[in-house]
Amino acid sequence: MIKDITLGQFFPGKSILHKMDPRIKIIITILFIVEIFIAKTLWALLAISVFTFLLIIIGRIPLRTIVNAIKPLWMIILFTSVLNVFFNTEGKLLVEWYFIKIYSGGLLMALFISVRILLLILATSVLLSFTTSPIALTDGLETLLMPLSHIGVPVHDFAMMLTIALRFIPILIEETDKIISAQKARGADFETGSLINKAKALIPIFIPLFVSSIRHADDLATAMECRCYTGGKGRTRMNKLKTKYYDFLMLALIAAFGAAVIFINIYGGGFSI
Amino acid sequence: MTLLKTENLKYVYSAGTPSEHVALENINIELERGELVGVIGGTGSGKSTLMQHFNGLLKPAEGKVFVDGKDIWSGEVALRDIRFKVGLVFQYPEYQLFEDTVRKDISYGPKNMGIEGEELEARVREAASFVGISEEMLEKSPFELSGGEKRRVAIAGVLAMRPRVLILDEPASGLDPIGRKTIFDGLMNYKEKTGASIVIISHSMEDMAKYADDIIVLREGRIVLSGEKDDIFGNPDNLINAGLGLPSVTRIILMLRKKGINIPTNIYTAEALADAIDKIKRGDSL
Repeated sequence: MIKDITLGQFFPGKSILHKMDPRIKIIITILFIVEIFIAKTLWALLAISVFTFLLIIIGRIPLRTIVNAIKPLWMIILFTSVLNVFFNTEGKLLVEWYFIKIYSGGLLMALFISVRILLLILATSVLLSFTTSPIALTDGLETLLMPLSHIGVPVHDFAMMLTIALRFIPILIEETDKIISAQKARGADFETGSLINKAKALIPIFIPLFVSSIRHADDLATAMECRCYTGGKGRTRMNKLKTKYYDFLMLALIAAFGAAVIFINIYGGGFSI
Repeated sequence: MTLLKTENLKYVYSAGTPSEHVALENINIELERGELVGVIGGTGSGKSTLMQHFNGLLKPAEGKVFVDGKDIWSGEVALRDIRFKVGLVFQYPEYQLFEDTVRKDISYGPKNMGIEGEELEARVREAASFVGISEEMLEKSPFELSGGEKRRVAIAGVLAMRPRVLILDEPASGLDPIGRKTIFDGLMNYKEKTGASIVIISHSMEDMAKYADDIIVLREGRIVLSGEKDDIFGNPDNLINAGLGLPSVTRIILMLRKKGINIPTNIYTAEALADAIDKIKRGDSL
């Protein structure tokens, strides 16, 4: 059922990727995304694919998880590929059949975009969501964005909201399952009927879900106040983020790889866009 | 006549993954007409998983479930019809209320059965009266009621489908004594009037001792004890071996018997025990 969603889920582990400082991980993820978009030749794209594959091995992510993460993407990839293959008119004309015209530029663009989307999802999943706990992620984000608090941005409050939101996803999923079962037991029918009827059948699920979300929020607010939570001011941390040698090693590696990608772009040859 | 029967039921959570877990194994239950069965077990004993098998919300990994003598997974019967026959009330059912008036919420189940007009009205009234919901409460929004009242509305929502088997998960948990009594009295009343069978899942020994005819004790997904109430509570050692406590009345009786005062163990309410002690004091024979 809805419990089976794996995209964006944390898998505890002991690899270097798991142990890294979340702040550095956020920085190298951004760097890596930039590198994915810098890559303009096939060789550069291939190099990035190999590198991503290495990251998956370093993070010891099971193949099944990877497959589950990219499975939902096929629609997007198919859609953008079809658009590019049929409507891009750059390069040589390869096929002409009645009104269908396929150009080499379109094929190349479709390949590039598909691989980029895949790499984008794989890299962010492996570097961030699979190997970083949601708490560590928001912690890292909070400290990275802290400078903004000097110009009046409530960074801590945003980070806390994000943490709470992430924390409640599994709870709300479980609750939704329960409400669906309860309404099914009263004869609710979600499968048959017209579209309007199907939409109407969801009301008995959504209203109890909203009510219980508000109840949870209320309870949590009270519980936080009981523990004297007054916002980020003066709040200390039990687990301080620490940056170790392997964090800098990874940062250096990704930066060097970026330089390599630029080098391949310029001197490597191969098809380019 | 057997209304509900399970045969070698087995259920496995997250089958084929590292967190695989056998939740139920080798469950054989037969429920007769007009019977109230209490299912007792600690947290994680599989009680709530078991009850979702009775109306086809969960599909057993192995074994069969029969309602009215028909295998519900054979494909010959519609699961939706099974759900009207076997009414199921989840734990904290008040969280499933959604309509703008109590009347509409109670009508939801019977409406799904295709019942309309006067028949619908009659069913709502009947269901409301079982659990003590007044005429004026029917027009209120369920969200302005108290916790106990909401619980009763939710139970009425299932009673209005007139199920022949009624399954309830902790129907009175978290309520005050008056709230508990209203709900249990209503359920007993429903059973008397309609001849329905009731299965109550609970870990309250007191309630089960008071209301159940038969008791089934679950532990780690298996039935460890089952039988008539008097047999189960008459042999306290078995219950203790199954990792459960005793009803407080039974505990007092056992203490008195140890001291040589001969009180039968088939007394389950404080009032009846007080009467029995009174009689012994006055020197009457029981």
